[in-house]
Amino acid sequence: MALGTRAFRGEDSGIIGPAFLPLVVAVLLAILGILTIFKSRGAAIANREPARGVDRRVALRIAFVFGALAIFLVLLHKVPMLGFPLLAPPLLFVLILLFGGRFSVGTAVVAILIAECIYLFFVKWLGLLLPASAWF
Amino acid sequence: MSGELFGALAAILAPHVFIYLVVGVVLGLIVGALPGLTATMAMIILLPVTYSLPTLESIQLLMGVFVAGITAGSITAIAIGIPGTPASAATVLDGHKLTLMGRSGEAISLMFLLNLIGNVLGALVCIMVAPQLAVFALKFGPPEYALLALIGMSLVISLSNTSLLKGLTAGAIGMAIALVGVDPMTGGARFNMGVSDLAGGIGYGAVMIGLFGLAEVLSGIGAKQSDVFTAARKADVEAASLTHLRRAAAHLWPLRWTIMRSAPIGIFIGALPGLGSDIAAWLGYDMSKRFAKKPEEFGKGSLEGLAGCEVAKSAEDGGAIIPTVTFGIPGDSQTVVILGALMLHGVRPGPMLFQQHSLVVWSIFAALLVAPFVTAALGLLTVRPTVWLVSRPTHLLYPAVVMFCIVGAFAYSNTVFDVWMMLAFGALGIAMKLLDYPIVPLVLTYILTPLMESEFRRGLMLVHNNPLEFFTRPVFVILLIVGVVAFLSASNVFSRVSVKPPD
Repeated sequence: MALGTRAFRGEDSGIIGPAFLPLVVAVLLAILGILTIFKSRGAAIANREPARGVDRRVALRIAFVFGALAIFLVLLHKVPMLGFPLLAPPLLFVLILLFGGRFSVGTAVVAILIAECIYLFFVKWLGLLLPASAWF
Repeated sequence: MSGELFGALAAILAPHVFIYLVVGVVLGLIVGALPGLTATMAMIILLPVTYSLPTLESIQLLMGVFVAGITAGSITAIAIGIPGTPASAATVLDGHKLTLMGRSGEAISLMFLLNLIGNVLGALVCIMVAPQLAVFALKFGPPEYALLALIGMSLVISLSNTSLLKGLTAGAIGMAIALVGVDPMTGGARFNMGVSDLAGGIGYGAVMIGLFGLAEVLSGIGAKQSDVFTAARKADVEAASLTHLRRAAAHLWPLRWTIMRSAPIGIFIGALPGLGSDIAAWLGYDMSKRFAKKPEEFGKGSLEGLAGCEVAKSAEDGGAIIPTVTFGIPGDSQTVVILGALMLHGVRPGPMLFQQHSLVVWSIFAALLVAPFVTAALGLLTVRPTVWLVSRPTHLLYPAVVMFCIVGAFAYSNTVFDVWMMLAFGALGIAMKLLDYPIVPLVLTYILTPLMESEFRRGLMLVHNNPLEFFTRPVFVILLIVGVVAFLSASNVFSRVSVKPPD
């Protein structure tokens, strides 16, 4: 954390320079980290039970959402041929399924409609420069 | 003072400005009523949309969402027993009981009237206090601002969560995030790891949308939703009629002492940095129970219970605006967005606001006064459609909100990098929610750290690097005393009052 702050020492005429607050935060985080570890170990010994569990299926779904969003962003950034109007509907379709929608043609149609409406609203109406494909 | 207020009222009631307040109120009613969507979320995603609007219009839009979003959560709380926003959690206890007793129309009418009263009381106090406070704040130099930011941070860290360790950790993480970018004094680069996208720091939009948007929506995945449908489908809710309204109005006079007790609580909690309507509502509920004539009726459909939390919750709005406009220190998570909106439109909050951008600050006050009436009028007319909307499946709505988060994060800086950062903060937000870490301290320290650091260092230069000289400044000492008193009295109130629902 404190890496890279040392270089600034002595540049400043004041008694504290750009490295002061990072150092304070680093020390604070280190102390808090150690306290948290001790506290959790103490609690684990006291309870001898695993910490309050998260529903595994829900956790898996959230992980899938992040996976889908990451793939979307990589494609949006690296493959300029595709762009938002082509990539958003499949993403939205996957998200709808993950949020409990049915796998059907109707869902797909709705996904396309919502995604393109968002695109038209932000890009055509508000003038946002979302990465669009070369075809639009 | 009144001249400025009437000028601002005239400005915001002009049709081309007023329409934005109405749109904001409608959006606020929808996101407020829908569990899982919050006013903060809607405001932070709307903020980039307001780029193209003039300052006055965009502020009205956001204020509309702010006021209506906090009120509307109680519609869902009363009608189906699930809070539409966290601020309405206390309302469920007595409000939903009234619906089960077949008095939903009356309860919802009374809720809107109480919110109207709370909002207006909060607005009036804000209008009276804020300009005076700004005059006082003109005397502030760098050391005073540094101290103020520090007081703000310590208040939110120590009071927003039961665990001090978790609050402190969240605050320290927020500080660390704020350090990335440019050193405020020398302009040197810090912690950007050679990534050019990080040279300007971690984007406000990415942090806010990640924590208040994505994390919030994704934590709605799972079983919780189906409960909402079943409850909403079964709910038998009457539309609020004139008869209900008349009956509700008749309850107001007997409730006058409860209202008068809860309003100051809400305003005080609002004015403390980082403490929001949810905490104000619990405190108001608890306080009215303490003073109630029939405390045994609480939790069984007591009107005093409903009034206690609703008035405190709604009075908080005005309280939260006070430090936001006078010091540039947000009073809760919604005013963080108001602060961001002001900055994006080139308006720097602080005592000079009253001189340099008089119309902007008075239009915020005017919105605090007008928005509650619009909210009550539109809200009362749309009780049944709102309940219908809440009972719709969310598997289309939530994914659409995720898309809005992506587009919104992109809109802040026009880079895909910020969308990645937004994803990262979404993940951080979910992790913090699961591990029961409070999010607001993180956001507030992230906002206040640059202010505190630069003012502290500027202050040190002023006193030739002798921090002890700070104590020779009368305003500094006054502020220190006020800060310590606020801190002690607030933590005293908190230790005596349960801020969590009885299980």
